[in-house]
Amino acid sequence: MRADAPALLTETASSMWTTRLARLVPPVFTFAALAFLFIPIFVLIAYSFNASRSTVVWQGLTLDWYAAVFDDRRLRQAVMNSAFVALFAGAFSAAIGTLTALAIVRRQFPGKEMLSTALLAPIVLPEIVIAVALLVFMVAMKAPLGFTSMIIGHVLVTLPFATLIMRTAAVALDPRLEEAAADLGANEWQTFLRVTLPALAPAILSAFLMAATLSFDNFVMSTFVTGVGSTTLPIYIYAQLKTGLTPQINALGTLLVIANMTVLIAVIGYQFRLRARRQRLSQ
Amino acid sequence: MTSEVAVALKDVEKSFETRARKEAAGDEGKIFAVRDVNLDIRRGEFFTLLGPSGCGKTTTLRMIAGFEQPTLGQIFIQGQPLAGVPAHLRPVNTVFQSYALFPQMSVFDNVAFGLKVKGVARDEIRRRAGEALELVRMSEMGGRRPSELSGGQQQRVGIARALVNRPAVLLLDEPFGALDLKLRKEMQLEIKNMQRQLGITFIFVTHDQEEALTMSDRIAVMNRGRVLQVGSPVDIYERPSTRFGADFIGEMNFIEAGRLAFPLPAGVSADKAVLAFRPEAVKFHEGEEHADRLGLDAVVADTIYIGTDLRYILNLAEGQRVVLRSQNSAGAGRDVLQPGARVRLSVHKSDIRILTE
Ligand SMILES: Nc1ncnc2c1ncn2[C@@H]1O[C@H](COP(=O)(O)OP(=O)(O)O)[C@@H](O)[C@H]1O
Ligand SMILES: [Mg+2]
Repeated sequence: MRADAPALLTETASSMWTTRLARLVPPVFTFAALAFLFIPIFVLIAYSFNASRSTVVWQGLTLDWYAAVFDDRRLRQAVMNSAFVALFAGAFSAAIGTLTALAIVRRQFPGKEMLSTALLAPIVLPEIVIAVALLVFMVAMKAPLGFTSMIIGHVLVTLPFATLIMRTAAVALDPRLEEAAADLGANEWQTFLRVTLPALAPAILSAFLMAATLSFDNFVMSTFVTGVGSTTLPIYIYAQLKTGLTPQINALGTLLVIANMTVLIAVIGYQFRLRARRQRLSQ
Repeated sequence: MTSEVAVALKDVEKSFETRARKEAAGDEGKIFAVRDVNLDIRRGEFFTLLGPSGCGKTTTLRMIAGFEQPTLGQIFIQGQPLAGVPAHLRPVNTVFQSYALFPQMSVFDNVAFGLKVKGVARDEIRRRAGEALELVRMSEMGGRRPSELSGGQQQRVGIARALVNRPAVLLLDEPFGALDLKLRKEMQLEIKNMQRQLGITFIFVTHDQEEALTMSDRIAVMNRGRVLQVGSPVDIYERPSTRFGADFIGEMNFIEAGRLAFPLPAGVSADKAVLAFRPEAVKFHEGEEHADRLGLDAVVADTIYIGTDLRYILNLAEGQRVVLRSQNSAGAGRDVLQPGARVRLSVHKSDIRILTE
């Protein structure tokens, strides 16, 4: 027995090393993936302060490119257009997604299974196909292209995501709450306004932000259905590629990252508070 | 008695379509949650539906509340048929087992909800919601969120939220199911007192026979979707009409009548009948045989001491078991019979129920 002991010891020692190595693998991968995601953004931020016109040379710090962003009237207009379209597309997507999800989760009707599958089809369908289809439809209807067609197009693209978020939330919603409301004398409309909607509010906000974000940087659909005067930011930037890009675009990118981060942190903070409240409830 | 009927169920049946295996469901691929239920619940009565889990209690309550529609039969409230009347127009309110308080509203707003949606004036809402909170001793908690209350407090709010609407009938579905034993006992007394004070008809659901016996004016014993017996707690406990009811409520001894020379009423066949009697009705026999007592020879199998009571497990000569319970009076400890002792037992014939179902 004693003779075996050292051999046993080295074996456990080596297996300990392999398990330690194995444990290291996931964090290393996670770190690599994060670096891959974020390094370009940090490069972008750094170069937005570069005094040189060239992205290859570093010539010292400047805020000129930020000034250029705020001076560019057409760029400002493109940002405004994007925000306008994103606001409406996000709102419509969130609203339609909420009602659709409630219908699928709460109601029984023929063809329900088919509808809920069909709603998710646009996620796997190439966006370009939907875009062409909408363009053909708009032309056939002799409808002018512009903000209306842009918003319709963006709703088509973002609705499946909004519906997915709302469906998860509707499934998690306790049906007893709606029964309790009816029991206390609330008709369907009162129940919806006073109980269902407030309970779904956080999810509706998520769905809206998701749809609005997708809309804000949508390119494929936008190029097909945009009209005169409804040029959004991605289309504008792409058009500028042809005339030559200045580091102005780096400054713009940095500003967008900051705006995005602000919203994200606000949302996470809000959900965090909500979760803390729910945890207290379950205790 | 000709008291007014608050709620009547006439031949009510509720079946659910099922996609589950055919053998598990009935012949027609349906689950019968409730079958052939006929009940007349009197005004101002504390009426309890008692039965094991899955016997159809909740479904019965949900049909009265309007969350489910009966597949057959009719339900009436104060003589009015309820078919086609949606839940929000019925003069009943429900206290849910899971409380189902609105999480994003304060306690006060939860209680005020029913009055608000009915468009009651503000001052009256404030007064009545305040009174309802006082009734359940939660006046101090009006500003809190449900998440900031304990289970017992949440259930109190649930009761106030229902009672504030002055329903003709209050439905309570296992309202104390999630509470610990001590709190449950307290709430039982409180609810019972509240019901006496208010005079509202309560329909109460529980699977706890002790809870049913202590709280109810009348009890309906249910099993597998059917009502087996309706009666006062004394009726239900002392005169059970079915073997299921006798077994479910309290402890009961059963002996097959065919094994004994016991006079059965005319028309009752000995091989189907079962004699049922409570452990406290069994006595050790002293002196001579009586015509009004059933005598049994037995051997002591086990003796269990449980504080106030002594329980004897006894093997009968016929190969069946009987439990005897006797009060553990002072000094009785000396006479405890040891396993193996031969004894003669007797049961008064008036304490024996003859059951055929
Ligand atoms: N929505 C439903 N669909 C299918 N079966 C149901 C449904 N609701 C209840 N049941 C069945 O009906 C029976 C009675 O249920 P329930 O009334 O909840 O019993 P209890 O409240 O006495 O425990 C059970 O077998 C249950 O599985
Ligand atoms: Mg139940």
